Amino acid sequence: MSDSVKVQKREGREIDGLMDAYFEKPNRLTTWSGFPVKDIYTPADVAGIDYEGKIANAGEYPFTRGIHSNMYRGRYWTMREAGGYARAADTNKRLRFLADEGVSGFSIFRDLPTVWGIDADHPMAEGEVGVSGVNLTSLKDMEELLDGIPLDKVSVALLCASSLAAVIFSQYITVAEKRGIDIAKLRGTIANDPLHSRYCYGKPSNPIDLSVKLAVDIIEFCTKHMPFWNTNSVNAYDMRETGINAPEEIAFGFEIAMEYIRKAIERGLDVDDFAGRISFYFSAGMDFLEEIAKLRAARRLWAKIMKERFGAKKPGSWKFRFGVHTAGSSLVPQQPLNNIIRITVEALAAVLGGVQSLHCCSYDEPIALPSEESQRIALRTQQILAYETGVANTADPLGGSYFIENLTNKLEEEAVKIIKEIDEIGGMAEAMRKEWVDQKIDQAALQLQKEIENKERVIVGVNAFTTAPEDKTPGGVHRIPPETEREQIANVKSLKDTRNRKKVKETIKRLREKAQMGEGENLIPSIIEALKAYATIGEIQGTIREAYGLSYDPFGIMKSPY
Amino acid sequence: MFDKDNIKSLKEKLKEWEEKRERKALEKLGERQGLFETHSQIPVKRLYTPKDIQDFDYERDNGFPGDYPFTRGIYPVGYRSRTWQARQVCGFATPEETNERLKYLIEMGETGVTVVFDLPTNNHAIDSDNPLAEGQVGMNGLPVDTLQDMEDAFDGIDIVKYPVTLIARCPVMLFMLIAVAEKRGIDLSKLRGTSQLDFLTSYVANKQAIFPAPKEAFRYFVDIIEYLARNMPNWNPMAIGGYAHRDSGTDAVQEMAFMLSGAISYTQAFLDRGLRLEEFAPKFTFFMGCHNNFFEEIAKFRATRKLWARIMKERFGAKDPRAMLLRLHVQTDGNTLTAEQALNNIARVAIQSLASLLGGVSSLHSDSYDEAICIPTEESARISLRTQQILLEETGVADTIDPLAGSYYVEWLTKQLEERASKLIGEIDAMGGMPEAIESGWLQRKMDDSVNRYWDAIRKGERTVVGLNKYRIKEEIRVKAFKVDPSYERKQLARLKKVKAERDNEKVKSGLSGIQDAVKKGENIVPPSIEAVKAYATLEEIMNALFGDKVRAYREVIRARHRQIAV
Amino acid sequence: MEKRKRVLLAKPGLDAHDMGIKLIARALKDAGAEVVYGGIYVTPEEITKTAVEEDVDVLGLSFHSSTHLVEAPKIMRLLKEKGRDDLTVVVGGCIPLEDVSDLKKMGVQEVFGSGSSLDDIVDFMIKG
Repeated sequence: MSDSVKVQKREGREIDGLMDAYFEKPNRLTTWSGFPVKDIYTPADVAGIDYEGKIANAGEYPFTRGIHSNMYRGRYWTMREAGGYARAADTNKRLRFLADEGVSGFSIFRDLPTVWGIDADHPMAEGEVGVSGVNLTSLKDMEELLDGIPLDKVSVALLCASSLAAVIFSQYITVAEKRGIDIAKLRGTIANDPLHSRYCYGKPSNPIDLSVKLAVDIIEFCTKHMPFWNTNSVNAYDMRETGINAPEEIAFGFEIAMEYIRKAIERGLDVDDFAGRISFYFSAGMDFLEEIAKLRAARRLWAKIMKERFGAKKPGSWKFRFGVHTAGSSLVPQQPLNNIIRITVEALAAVLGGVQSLHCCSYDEPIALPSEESQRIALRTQQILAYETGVANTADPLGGSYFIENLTNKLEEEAVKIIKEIDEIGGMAEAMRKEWVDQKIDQAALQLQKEIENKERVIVGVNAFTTAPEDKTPGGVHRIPPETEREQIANVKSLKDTRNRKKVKETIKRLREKAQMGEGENLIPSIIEALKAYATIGEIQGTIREAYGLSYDPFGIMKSPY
Repeated sequence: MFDKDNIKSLKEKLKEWEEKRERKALEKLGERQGLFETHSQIPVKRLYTPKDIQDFDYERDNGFPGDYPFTRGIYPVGYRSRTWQARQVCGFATPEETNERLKYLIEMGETGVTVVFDLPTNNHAIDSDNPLAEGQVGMNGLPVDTLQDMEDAFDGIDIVKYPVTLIARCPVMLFMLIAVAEKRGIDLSKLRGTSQLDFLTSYVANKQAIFPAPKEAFRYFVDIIEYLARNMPNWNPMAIGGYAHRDSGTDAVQEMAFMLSGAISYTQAFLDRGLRLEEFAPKFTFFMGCHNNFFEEIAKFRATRKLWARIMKERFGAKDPRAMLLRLHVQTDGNTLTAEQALNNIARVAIQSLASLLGGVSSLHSDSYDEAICIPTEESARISLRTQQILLEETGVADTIDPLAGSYYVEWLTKQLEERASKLIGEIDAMGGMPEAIESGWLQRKMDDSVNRYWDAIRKGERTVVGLNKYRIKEEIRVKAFKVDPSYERKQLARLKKVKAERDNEKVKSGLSGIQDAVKKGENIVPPSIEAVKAYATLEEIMNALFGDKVRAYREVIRARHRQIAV
Repeated sequence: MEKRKRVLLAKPGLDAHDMGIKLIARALKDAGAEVVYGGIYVTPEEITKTAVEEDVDVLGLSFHSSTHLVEAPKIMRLLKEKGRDDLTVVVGGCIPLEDVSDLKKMGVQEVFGSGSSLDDIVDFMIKG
């Protein structure tokens, strides 16, 4: 790497006095992921690339230039901003605010007790209820959350990835059913990626096999009943946030998706019946050009995997459809308004990479929950890109660039290598069991931290260009008042006292019976029945766990009341 | 990638794609607007492929960085050895304060100083005691009446070690700086700074303010360039601008054409005087804006570099490559910023700054987000500098030269801009050059048409400006009052009064008549102007001696025309 | 038919940002007003003289360099001296909110700061 830092002067050249005007020079001439960057790329760097086979027009296999032939000329990407904090009613208010400001899709975050599948009144939930997202203990919460939102018209992303996705997903469609909406018409996405979630929430509540089983239940259910719903949003984003590099992000994400696909095929589904509804959730970080190349490389590689490895025949199954979340880890609490610049660069990279739905972080995220103002600016950033810059007027505007095409190839090659390595271990689930993935992630995080500390990587405001610390956040800090938690706990307790206990018992019993029938039995219909009786998330999870020979409570504190 | 067979087979494939996939998608989805085009009304296609650049020849059209035609940059090393220059300007309400600030900036590591002047000085060339200047002395910059002000502003600053950039089209400030140097006994050939002096843009930016009709004014500037070429070979005499045109509402093609046509007119005039190309052309610098249309702006910078190199080589027969280099300073376009939801401007400025760097500019000024509502605060100015630092340090875009080269779209658009600007330059040539285009009112009409087209589209909702005609919110736009402390004006008036009382009026008189003689006899006006400066003649006195009634006469012509144009 | 409104637009002071005032001139004309465009760099004396000679109904002034509190009072005073303080005077441009009440106290009817809609301005000038 140190060699690439040196600038090679081409022979016979001298740098004349004009250069005196310049100051400073970059100290790291590699991409974020460590690929050396040459001073100049020319036609020689793309020699031998076959346009038709390797690049191809937008909308054509292998989709390097985009999955639609006219990309954003038909419609812009979905502009999402997330809501999810405190009580369902608070989140509902924020969602309505965002709708008024012009978002075209919602993302809903849930709090950690929900991710873990414990009720708000669980002792371990104390201090966490409604903090990092909305608390969804029972169907009642989901009903309040979606109050007044036309579910048949909006596209909602439910950002619950853990094995509790099955419950959250069921809550959502139950609300729709109760309103008389044909669930076959619902559009949206459930994150439903329990494999990745161990790397962002710590040890998950359920073991890998049970988690994958529940994930496949959702795939199967949607394949049969909900043709427009995205069954998974395979989350490479959170893994990237830990510090792994771009080709690892592609490879890890794809390997995870392949686990679900294999299991779904084992369940008896035809790959072409469900592959078209698997989507991805990728990051857009600060290395502008590398991130664009990454998204192009991912599109090309996914098409090949689906076509060649899984024998998918429908073009729809070959398409890498993805959302991007700008990299939260690139934001810093120092001089927070600078984060608007970072988010802008990342969002632009996502758009130039051909994103389908984009979520921009808010500049105050490293400090607090986004305020209305900061979320509005995040949305405005997307709108400015769409309406003012003209970047969405032609498909894949960087296609053909010597540097971009060269880097796209390199990223693809590197991702292929990593995929091969994981295949040899026996797939992603196995690599996780063996903690191979954990090691990779730990190494990457450590390396990144070192590079920041020794200033090989400069972060403006952190290890360079620092200023005296601000004493307050511009725009103010958005906090969750503590009474929120008390109120939610009281709500849950009162629900448990007032609901029809007999009905709860009956539906829980049926769920238990179904769960005992083995992996091949789809639990979604019984979960829906239990939800309608207002069984809670903890009760549903506990019942399923017991059927699989696990303790009722993942923390071993609560005992089954049934 | 581009051999003939490939292109042929690609054409067939593309046809198939258009017929099958594209048509199908279009039938299903339609498109969000009928016509897609850049800011310069260049139609944008759905997809660009190798077919769109099949005539592209790498060595002819791109070449290597530092090699003709310089499309990929004028430096062989791009930003890898040294980065672009982040320029901060300075100019405070009094000479003493400016002096303090300049010293502070040098202490902080600035390698040169850039000075801006107040409105009466820069845009009107009037003294602080002129009634028209009331309330505006010291506004936005340094007030200069006499040599005394310049001496005080640069007191104790080594103007050889720290090159001075004077942001002024009026030449008197340059004369004053030369006088400061001569009084200090400095060898003029050692001065390395930059002056703006691009008087042709003053008819656009300052409208009819300070010079006579362009054709009449030309001779004075030829004198100045001749003097500088002969006496100050290390000085960059002219910063030739397109920014003023762009900020007044023209599109990218017009910005290129008007700027380069100005440069052509200067070049021809200097050659006619007998100067050699090598004496002045390598020292031209250029100044453009960066608007919102991301790819058009990137392509614009690439195309302008190439076009200028071609003009110098093919039209003027330049042999020395240094005479072909477009050394370009860019400022993000103030008129793209909105007063509404002002923090959104941070995103706009970031996009524009990124486009400038991908376009390979030599130096960059990023606007502050609050420029639409007030003079930038310390915080907003810092964020604009941080924009550049983040782009440099965190995004990697400066790590390889001209990273978008080869992109079908960018190369196609570069060619389009080059051709369209070339055509417009041809039109201006046919009129007799930039002075004629200005005097006949053609330029103003072109600009007004562009402005009207742009704003009509916004008004009709065909063009969206976020926060302005879409996604508005209820907000109170607080324009922050920028009030010049009235004590500055009083101080400056007192300074001027003192100088006038103490100077030798006989010397002033003979200095001024020396200028008038030179004007009459057709001798170079620079030496007598410097003498008058040294006698402490005021800015306004010198301007009057230089131009007499010619300025007022032209002002009336233009004013009459302006009324007519607007209504 | 109602008499067509005659409007004088002018930009006093040393600043040259005339894009806005020229757009208003055109919009007014499109809306059926008769527009007299006074141009930029005009003095209070020139403005009031033109206002009287052209017998206008409305005077629109544009400021971008904080000279509104210097120039506007002079103009209002001169109008009064010439017996034309019946004129509808409208101010626009970069005007701090703090200064709006001061301008209105001098007799300025309405102030349109940054972010005002062109249609609102034209409506006000024509219908008053």
